[in-house]
Amino acid sequence: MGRTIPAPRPVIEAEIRRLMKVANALKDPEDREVAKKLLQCASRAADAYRFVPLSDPLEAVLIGVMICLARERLWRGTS
Amino acid sequence: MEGYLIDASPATEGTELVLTTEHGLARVKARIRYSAHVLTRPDPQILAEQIMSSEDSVEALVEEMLAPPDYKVRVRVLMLASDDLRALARVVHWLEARGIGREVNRVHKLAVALRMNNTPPGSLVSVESGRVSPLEDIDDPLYETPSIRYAEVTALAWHGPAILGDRVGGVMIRCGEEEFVARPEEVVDGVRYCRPHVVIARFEDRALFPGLDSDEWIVMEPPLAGSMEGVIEWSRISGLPLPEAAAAPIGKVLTTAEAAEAMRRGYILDPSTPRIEGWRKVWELAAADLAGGGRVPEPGTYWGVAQLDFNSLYPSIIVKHNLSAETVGVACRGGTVPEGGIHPVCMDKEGVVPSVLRKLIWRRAMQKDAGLVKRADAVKWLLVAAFGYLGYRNSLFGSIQAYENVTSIARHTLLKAEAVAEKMGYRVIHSIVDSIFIQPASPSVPQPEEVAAEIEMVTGLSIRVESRYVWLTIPAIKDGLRGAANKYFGLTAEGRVKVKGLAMVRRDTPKFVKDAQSEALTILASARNPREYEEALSSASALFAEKASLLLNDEVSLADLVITKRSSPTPRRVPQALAAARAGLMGGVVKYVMTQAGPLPVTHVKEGVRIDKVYYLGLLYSAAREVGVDAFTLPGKGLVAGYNALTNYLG
Repeated sequence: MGRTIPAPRPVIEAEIRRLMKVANALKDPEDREVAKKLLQCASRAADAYRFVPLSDPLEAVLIGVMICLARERLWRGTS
Repeated sequence: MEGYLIDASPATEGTELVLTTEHGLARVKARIRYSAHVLTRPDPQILAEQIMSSEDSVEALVEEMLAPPDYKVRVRVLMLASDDLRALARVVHWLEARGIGREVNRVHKLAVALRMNNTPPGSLVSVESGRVSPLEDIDDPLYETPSIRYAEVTALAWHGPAILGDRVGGVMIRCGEEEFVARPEEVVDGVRYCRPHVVIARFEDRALFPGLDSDEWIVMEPPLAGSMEGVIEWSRISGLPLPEAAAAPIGKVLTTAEAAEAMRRGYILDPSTPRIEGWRKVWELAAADLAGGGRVPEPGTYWGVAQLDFNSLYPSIIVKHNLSAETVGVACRGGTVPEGGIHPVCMDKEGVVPSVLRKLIWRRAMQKDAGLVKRADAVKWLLVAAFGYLGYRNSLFGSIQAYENVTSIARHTLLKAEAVAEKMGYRVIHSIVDSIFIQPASPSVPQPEEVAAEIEMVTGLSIRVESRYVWLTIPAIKDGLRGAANKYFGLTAEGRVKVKGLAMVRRDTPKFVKDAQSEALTILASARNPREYEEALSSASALFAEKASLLLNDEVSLADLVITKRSSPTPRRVPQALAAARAGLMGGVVKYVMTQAGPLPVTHVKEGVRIDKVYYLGLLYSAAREVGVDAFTLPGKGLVAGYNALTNYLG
């Protein structure tokens, strides 16, 4: 394992947990559901940070969410 | 006199060697040339002349040696040599006490002397008029297996191998193909019957039976190298006497081998010249300080998977890219950063670590080809430990930068391997450090062997098809969403069940749980298609339910519920600790059963003890979940759920 820098996955998961609280705090119930659904994709890119250093956990979350959105769009054939 | 050298120790005016003979052991005095190297304040030539004129048994001369950290500068060193280790130590002490000099190359003098004399323990030697000579080529990995007879002794109690404080019921003695149980008072006679040169006994057995410490044989710990053949291999590589090699940490074996290589090159080994990492920016540290590559797999059962493993990946990278403390991150002409690496490497001369590992990789390959599995396994452990030692700053040739280069190149290599497999029509279902698991993405794909050949060509590192699975299951971790990175089990094409990381292969799992999981895997092994797999899972579920009922109805033997753990530090080979252990004061192994009042040591277990069934049910259900059985369909689920809730509540 790394000696000084923490492993990426726990850092990314802590960020997702924090954002999940934000999602839960949204006023509109539909927004809440969408936000929570999106965050379920957030750890999708975590693996890649075993190969590349993690500069900001939010970056990993955003990439994960973007992949999910893009794939869903592609599957629907609306790209 | 001729025989296999098994032990050696410095004695007055010489060295006592222990050799095997047909009738037992022979102890002979011999002359082994020990050496000491001293950095001096005054001119070493003047000191050498003074020592030569005043000391009869110590020879002194001046040698030019290469100084750390990069071994390019030559310095003059006082070299002392003697057959009498005590006389040598006396002179060194005299020089150091007066501030005249400081000893360098403080290594295991006996091991290095025996290795450099080509007469390491475990090899056939002759001793004539005090002179020790080799009778075989010690660098030949395919040497004839030494005829060293040994007996293995294990004291038994009601729960299996006894621990300190146990009432011993009998003693298992194994020699060759023979195996028998002796009464405790007959242990020494039982061992004598085997006519061993060596007795292998645990610390606990020696503490329980002081009679085992006898001049008739040499006593040694159960070997960390895995077998007697493995210890012999370690001794031949390092020069360490057999009892020391058996109990030595792997690092000691490696360090001694590296020290011998360094001294052959005339290197000064000086721990007071530390290898200090240069200043780095935080982002540079973040980029370098990453572990081995790998994925978190999707849990599930996969069909038609092939597992491709790199052969000794980390050692091969160290050798290929010349990664050693004195070659990485030091100034040199023509230093380059290897592909996938981080720090520049000097390629002008081979480093000590790559040099030692190159020979070990070759040695293991020869032994594997010749079917000498135990020897090859012992060498494998050295290769595995070599990488860790490279990153250990107190090791002789440890270097954080070299270590970071290894992991970085390995991650790069793993990504390349994944890309090749995908390009050739496979789906990568999992990869971890030096293994990738691939599944055909379409019906017409090349054979896995062709994928391996292509990866080998692209990466320049050797890779093989380790296993082909009929099916491979990756269990989910607790949250159920992700697969465990280091746990899997599968049925190989040869019909063998391969298991990694499950409860049944963990040391602290009680036999009752191990057996249940193992039986469940035997049931699953009958499945050849997804429908049969589902049916087998139902049968496995019924099996776990039956086991749970046995537990709830008090029908499980107490011996099968014993949990064994090792406590550290283990008081190995320390006479005071041995004496204390004989008085029942300490021990390295802890064995207990979990009762309703908490863990109870096996030495205190009495009839009618009330075991904690919920705790064992929890272990059983966890083992069931690992193999894909839904634990919440099993009896006692309410008990376990309650227990888990309580544990979570109590934190």
